[in-house]
Amino acid sequence: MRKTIRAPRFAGVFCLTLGLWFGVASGAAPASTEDLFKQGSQAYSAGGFEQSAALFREAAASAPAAGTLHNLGNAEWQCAHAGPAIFAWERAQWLDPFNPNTRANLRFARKFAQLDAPDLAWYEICSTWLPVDAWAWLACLSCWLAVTMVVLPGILRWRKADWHQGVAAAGFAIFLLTIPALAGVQARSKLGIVLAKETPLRLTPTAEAQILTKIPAGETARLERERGRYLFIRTGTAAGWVEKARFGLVSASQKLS
Amino acid sequence: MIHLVLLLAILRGGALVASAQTPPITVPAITSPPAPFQIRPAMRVREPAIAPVAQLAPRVAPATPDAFSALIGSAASIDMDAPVTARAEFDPPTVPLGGKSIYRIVLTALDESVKLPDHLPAPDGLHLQAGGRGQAYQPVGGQKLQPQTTIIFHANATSTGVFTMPSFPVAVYSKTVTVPEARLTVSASGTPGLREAPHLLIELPEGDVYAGQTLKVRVILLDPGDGTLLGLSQPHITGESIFSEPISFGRRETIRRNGQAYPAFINEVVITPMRAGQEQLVAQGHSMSTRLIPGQQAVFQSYNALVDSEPVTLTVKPMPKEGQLPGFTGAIGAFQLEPPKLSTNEVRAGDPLTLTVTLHGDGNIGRLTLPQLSFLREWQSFPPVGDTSPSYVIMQRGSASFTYTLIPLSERSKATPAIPFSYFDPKKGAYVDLTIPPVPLTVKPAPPGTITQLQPSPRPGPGPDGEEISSREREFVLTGLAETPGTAVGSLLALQRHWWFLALQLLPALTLTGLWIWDRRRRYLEEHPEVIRKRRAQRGLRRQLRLARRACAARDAVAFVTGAINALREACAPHGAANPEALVCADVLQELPPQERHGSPGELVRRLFAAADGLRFGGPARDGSDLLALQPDLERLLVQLKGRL
Repeated sequence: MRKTIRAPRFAGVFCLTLGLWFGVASGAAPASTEDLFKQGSQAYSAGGFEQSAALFREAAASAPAAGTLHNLGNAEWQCAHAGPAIFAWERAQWLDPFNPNTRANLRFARKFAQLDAPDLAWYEICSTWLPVDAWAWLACLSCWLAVTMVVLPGILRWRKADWHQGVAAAGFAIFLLTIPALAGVQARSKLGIVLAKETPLRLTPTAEAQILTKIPAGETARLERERGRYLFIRTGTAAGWVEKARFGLVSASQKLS
Repeated sequence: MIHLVLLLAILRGGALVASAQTPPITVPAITSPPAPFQIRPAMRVREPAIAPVAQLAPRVAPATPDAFSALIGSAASIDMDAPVTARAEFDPPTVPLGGKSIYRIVLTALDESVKLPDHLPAPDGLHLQAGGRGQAYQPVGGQKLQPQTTIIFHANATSTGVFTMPSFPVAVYSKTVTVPEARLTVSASGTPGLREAPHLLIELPEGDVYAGQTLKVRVILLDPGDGTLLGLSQPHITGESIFSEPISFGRRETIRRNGQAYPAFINEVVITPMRAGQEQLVAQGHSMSTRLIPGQQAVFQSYNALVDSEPVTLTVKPMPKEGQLPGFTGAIGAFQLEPPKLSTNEVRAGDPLTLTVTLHGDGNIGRLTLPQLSFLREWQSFPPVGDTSPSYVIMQRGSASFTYTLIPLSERSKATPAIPFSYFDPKKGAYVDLTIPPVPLTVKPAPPGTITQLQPSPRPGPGPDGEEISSREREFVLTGLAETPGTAVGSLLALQRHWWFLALQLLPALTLTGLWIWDRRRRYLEEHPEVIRKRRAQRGLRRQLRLARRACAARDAVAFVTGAINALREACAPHGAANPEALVCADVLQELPPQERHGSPGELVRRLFAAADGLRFGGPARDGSDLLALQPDLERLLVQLKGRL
């Protein structure tokens, strides 16, 4: 009798929590983001690429989304800002790897600017098959499902069934398959784009340091370490220190600026 | 290591190499500037014959291009073991008042190892001003070369007399070497027979000079005409932002200065100012001369001495930004283009061909690069490969060739693409277009299966111009805008790097752990039911004892007896795995120790059960005060029984 009373009460609390969570999640994207996106698209259509880039940049800063970043890349490209354009498209692809337009734009830009696509390891390539967050959820769910299917029948004294073992084996298999992809996501988190033209790559993290070479805007590099306002990055051909402001990490935790 | 130093010396344009075995030449009319080494010939003893200077001039090696190879082949090495010697002299040793002399210090050590004191101990009235510094090599036998570092100072005196530069210590290879004293005699002005201090002159080209432009500067060493001067080697020009390299052979010419003709040795040095602004240029080189060995008659010694020039100011203009044309890669000068040549005029799509472009002209052609071909749909291109000859060779030759490797991707190409190229003409002060023109060619279709993916494929619909656009062309076009922003995220940081996601994993882990612990406990209790019975008995005992205490406090004998009996039953039930309500007096007594069973505790139990039976079966009514007095004994018994649970 008690259970029949508590179940709807628990369901109500659960729904309320979910509602609040979704409310907060939807509240993270302010209503003006849509307006900024529309204004940016209109400015782009009218040829005001600088204004369009500024609007898309603002929209992406408040609520990063694949479509906004894709459009920001287009606007930056039209402003002849190859580095920021490739950076925005890489971020869009980070969020939505299935978007063929973003992929085509990246190919187009790299071909045009004579830049090489990032050289990814096999597990990094695997990690691009799904959105980055999907791998983490998949690994989490499959692992706990497998553990649950191993542990729960014994605890709850369910009669042993083949499907228990089947689900557990499948869960473990999926979890094992996600591990390389998770490693790939982790490795790709260090990928970044050189934003400024002819960015000097220095031998030491100082302004007076010897310049080893200059990196073109849009070049992909891996972040290895950080010191003061300099980052140690490694491109396909060279490694050295660059100023932080001249390098953008694709998966940076900070908001876009 | 030694060979590396040797090679560096060569690259730095070392002095001329001359060995004792080298065939002599009589007139050193031409010297060899790019020759790597300068080896001072060993002392030569001339026959005390007539016209000694003319006949027995010191030998200077001809400019043999294999000098370095000969040295390497003979395994010559640099002598670093011999003790360092120092020499000091004034050149000339006698000057008129107001005239200049060169105070020259020569050390047989590498330049980098010599550390002079900050201030030289010059005598009063003698002013020394720092001049050039250079390094050369001389053979010392045993297939070894000895380094020789020369440091010069410009000296002038304020009065006549003999000035003695005292000996002073110098740090060489972290050891102290003493530079011997030297004397300078200053005579009155107008004293005849005194020669001028050797020095170089710089002749800059006329016209405006721009940053990045290469200039041919003439470095001149005046010949005193007494036959002692043989040539000039290792000329170079120093400046704050100057790149200097010798390009031409030295020659002897007659130049006019102040209306007079002077014989002089002239070398050309190419300099490239690296930035706009005022530049102070100083020329430096080694003069090769002969001199009579003091104390010996008719024995001449050839030697080289470091000389430099007075500073000359060069004004460098910045490159104009307006009017810059496409394809400008820093070419400054005047250039002409030969018709470009193709490796073949007929090629299959996908096969490479080369386009050779040759430039002629005067300017920075030695260090010129041609522009890369920008992205084209129908061509794949590679950066141009230039001439691998040294820059001074290219500059002397006056032409440079570049090779583009091109791959046609479509048989529709009828000519190579035009390659934008331009240069800056400093005389005109303007940029000049020199675009590499297209070269006609025939492109055949690629064999099936080799480049099919690059070939045009039909588009679902015609393009805006009515022409079908290939999938490849479509691929390399900027796509349109996204219509919707898409799903917004809070952060681009990967989910697995969020702390809350890792913390979230604790939730199922804790849940499953809790369930597991609960299951273990449950199984344990199932295997040990006495634990539950005892726990239940303890609870029941506490409850019944509480009731009994209340009843006692309320002077309710009936309730006290009931509570006491029930408490005894609860305390004894687990031992017999029985229901407490089913126990009778004998059962309770059974749980007491044998000695207590017949003692006062047993008596207490019997009295309480008897009273309860009396109450239950309607015995004679009593006030029960005596029963209530049993509470302390009851509590002691119950504590005892509880301890056994």
